[in-house]
Amino acid sequence: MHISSLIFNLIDVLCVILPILLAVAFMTIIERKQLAAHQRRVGPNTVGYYGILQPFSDALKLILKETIIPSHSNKVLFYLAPISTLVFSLLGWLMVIPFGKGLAISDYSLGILYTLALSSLGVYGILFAGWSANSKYAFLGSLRSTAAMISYELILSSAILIIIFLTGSFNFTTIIEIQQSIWFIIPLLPVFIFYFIAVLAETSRTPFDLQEAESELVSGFMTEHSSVPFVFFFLGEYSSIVLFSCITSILFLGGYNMPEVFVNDSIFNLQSIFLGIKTCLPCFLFVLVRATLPRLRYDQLIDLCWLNLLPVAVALIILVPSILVAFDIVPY
Amino acid sequence: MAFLFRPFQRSYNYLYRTAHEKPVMFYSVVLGVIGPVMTIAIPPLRESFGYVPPPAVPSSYPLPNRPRRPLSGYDDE
Repeated sequence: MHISSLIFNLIDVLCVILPILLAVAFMTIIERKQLAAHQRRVGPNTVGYYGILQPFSDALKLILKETIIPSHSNKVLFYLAPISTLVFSLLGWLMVIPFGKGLAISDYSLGILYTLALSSLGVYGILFAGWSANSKYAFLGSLRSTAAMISYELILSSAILIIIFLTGSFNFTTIIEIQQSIWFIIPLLPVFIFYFIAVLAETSRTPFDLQEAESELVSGFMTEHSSVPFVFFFLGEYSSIVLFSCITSILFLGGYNMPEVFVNDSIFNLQSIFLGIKTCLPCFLFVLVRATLPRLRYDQLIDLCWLNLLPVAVALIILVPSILVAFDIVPY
Repeated sequence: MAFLFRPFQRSYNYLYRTAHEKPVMFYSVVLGVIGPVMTIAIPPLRESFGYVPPPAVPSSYPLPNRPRRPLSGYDDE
């Protein structure tokens, strides 16, 4: 491979990763301000104008803190866990997310499988974190998180499978182009609802955050991690939130599609801006659900997945292709 | 007329009780059964209303049903 193509590939990756890391940082302040709005208070407003520089102040505080490693912990896995969590959540952005027509770093034909594989690999970081800390509570939190993530991956995959039945393709760009006539959220609203429930559980967000709730297990699997390892977990968690919001907007809200009321001759790529605006909607929904719903107990969380959502998911997996075959609208 | 439904009385009671006590399972099974029923029932119904399925996309080259014509002009000189 020529050195110039290597440099261009690196520039491509940095053009995606740096804005994503900024978006993740601002997601934290958006969450705090929105939660404050729901609770009729102000939120952070001291650091910077309207508290905009709060995430940078938080990052600086965490980086300057002392990193404490428990003496009986497995040092290699202790550091590897947060790194792998962050890397797998950032990898999801790199290959397959199309920011416009033909604007994916690699328009992979099996993009959805790649994304699901990465979300499955992300479980390892959580497992290593709790096990390497050599602490009962961290281990318990990590086992609970792992079991919840594995369980809800089934529901997530089932919802995505229904989209694949409708489109006949695993490629994100094809899925977006097919939604030019109608966004999938309209015919597939029940599927969107249980997809969103699965995404909330995958990202360990309220109401599925018992395993990392401060009143229950201190901080769950990341109890023993402090300073920079904790920053990596934090960044990985919010990066997953923004990534799943982007995937939700691609699968259900039409992705970068925009009403073509004028011909865009300018150098500005409006499609990326539309994708960004549509990504903000699920992000808002994440925080709205956090502000609104109480936390589920762990046994309720697992029962919800296996006894309530899974039968409906299986029923929809049978129903949707049957409708396509009965009305002769199979796309392949 | 009631004697026709008597063999199914217990089944009906079971379904009624399950629909109230385990609604998720019951309605999931209902949704799941609707699928194959639609697949079997709807195509003949559509054909009876005049729907003509589109021609199938060809999956191979349509070979002509005649002997091969001898080629000329491609011999080496």
